[in-house]
Amino acid sequence: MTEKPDNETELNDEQFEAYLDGNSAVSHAYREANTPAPPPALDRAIRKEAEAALLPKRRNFMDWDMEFWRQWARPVSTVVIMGVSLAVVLQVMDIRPEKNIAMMDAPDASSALIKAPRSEALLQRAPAESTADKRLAEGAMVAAQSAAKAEPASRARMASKLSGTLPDGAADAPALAREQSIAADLPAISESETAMYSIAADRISADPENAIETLRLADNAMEEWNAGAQASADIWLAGIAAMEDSDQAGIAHNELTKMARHYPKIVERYQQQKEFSAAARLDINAAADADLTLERSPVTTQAAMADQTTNPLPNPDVWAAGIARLYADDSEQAAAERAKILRIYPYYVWQ
Amino acid sequence: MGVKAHPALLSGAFAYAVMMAVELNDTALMLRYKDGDMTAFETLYGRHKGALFRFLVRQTGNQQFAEDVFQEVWSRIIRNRDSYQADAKFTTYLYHIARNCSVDQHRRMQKRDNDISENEAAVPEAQAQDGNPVATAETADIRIAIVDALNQLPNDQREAFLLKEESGLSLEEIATVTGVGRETVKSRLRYALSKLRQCLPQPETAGVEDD
Repeated sequence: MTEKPDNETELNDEQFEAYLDGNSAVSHAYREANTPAPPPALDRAIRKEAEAALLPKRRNFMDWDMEFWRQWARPVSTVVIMGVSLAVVLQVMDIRPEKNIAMMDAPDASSALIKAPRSEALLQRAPAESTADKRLAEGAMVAAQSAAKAEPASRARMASKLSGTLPDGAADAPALAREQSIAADLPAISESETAMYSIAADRISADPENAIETLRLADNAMEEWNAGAQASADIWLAGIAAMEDSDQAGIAHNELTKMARHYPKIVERYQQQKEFSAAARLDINAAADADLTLERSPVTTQAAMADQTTNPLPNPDVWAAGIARLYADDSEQAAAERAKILRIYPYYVWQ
Repeated sequence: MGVKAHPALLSGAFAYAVMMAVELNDTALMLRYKDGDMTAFETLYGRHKGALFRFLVRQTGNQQFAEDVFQEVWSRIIRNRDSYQADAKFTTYLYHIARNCSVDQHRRMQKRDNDISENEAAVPEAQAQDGNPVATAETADIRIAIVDALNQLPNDQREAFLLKEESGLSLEEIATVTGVGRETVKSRLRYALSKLRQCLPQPETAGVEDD
């Protein structure tokens, strides 16, 4: 707009000021020429619209509804989303432990059983060399019989022990407390209902000398498991022991933790025996006097034996080692002690 | 607008309407209408309808188009009465809306690919036919020439001229409505005025002011 008007018609400032003041021939000519006006119908329509706009609005339910939602849609949506999120989180927190027990255990237990054939191979390789496994089977069977009597308190204690990687001061940690409560709330599982346990028990009863062969049922146990049967404690424990022997301690620990939820007493006994055996062996090796060792072992392994005060169950290894040190093999005392061991551990294999 | 009539001389609603027409400015009328006074709107509408309609007709060059925009402008004012702020001059507010509506309507029409060329030609003819029957032939010729010249102006110049003539807005207010600077408005007006003056009979003595 920097272009200047033609010289012929160029306005001087006075003329332009006169135009701005309304004193211009152009303005006069334009006003004379200006005649269009809005049609009367358009006038009426606009007036009608203006008048209608002043009438009080009849607010029907839909208007109220829309206004309500327009006002509250955002806060209501936010609250609903937060509520749903919270519900989902709580639901997940509630379901997860049960899922671990009821569902997640299944494939994991199966994996333990899948490992079992490997342990079977170990067990079958040399029965004479795998006395430890036999002892495990024996211990498992004996403990299994008392497992049905397991009380919630012992289960909770076991859960605490098995998840005891936490320091002592962390006993009140929510996760640990939750684990304990879950373990305590677990329904008692009757081993008599366990298909594989029944089969194993029958086999062992019919042929105690070849009890270790029962563990070979691990192959069949998989089929039973797939058919919905609970893993047998002895089969499960045999698989765990085999994994420990084959340097799969991590998997073995996980399986043992899971097993403790179903067979807390058996696992408790299993762990006590392991702890006690290790401690006792160290004591025996360190001590010059086997007599003192046998007497002292329960003291020095007091922590390991703490749970046995109400139901003492000597470790057969320690018991046998003590017998060997104390008495001559052909002595009456040794025979009597061995008989005691066999009463408690009928399938114990002497080293 | 300076005349004041005594309410006692008049009666009823008519007196009230006259009082408002005489004494209340546009902003006050708009605020009264906002508060539910229909008479205030009648007065306000009566004041501005002619100028606004002429502005739209001249600016768009299409009678039908102008009617649509005219109705839309007043509809917007009615709808948005509650949000009207008294800090702006009503005329500025009115023509700002008119300009926006005109642009919107023009875009809509372009989308519909309506051929408006026929209607464009109809406006000047209609204006010619609407002329005063007693006017002289020379005056009629001048009217037609002014309208023709106006139609030939660039849009910006025509808009500035029409806003000045019809709304009575100052240069600053026209700048506000059109969204440009004051000097730009001034330049457009000078240019438009120079072109339109060519349609008028030249004065006998050069340098004499118009009119």
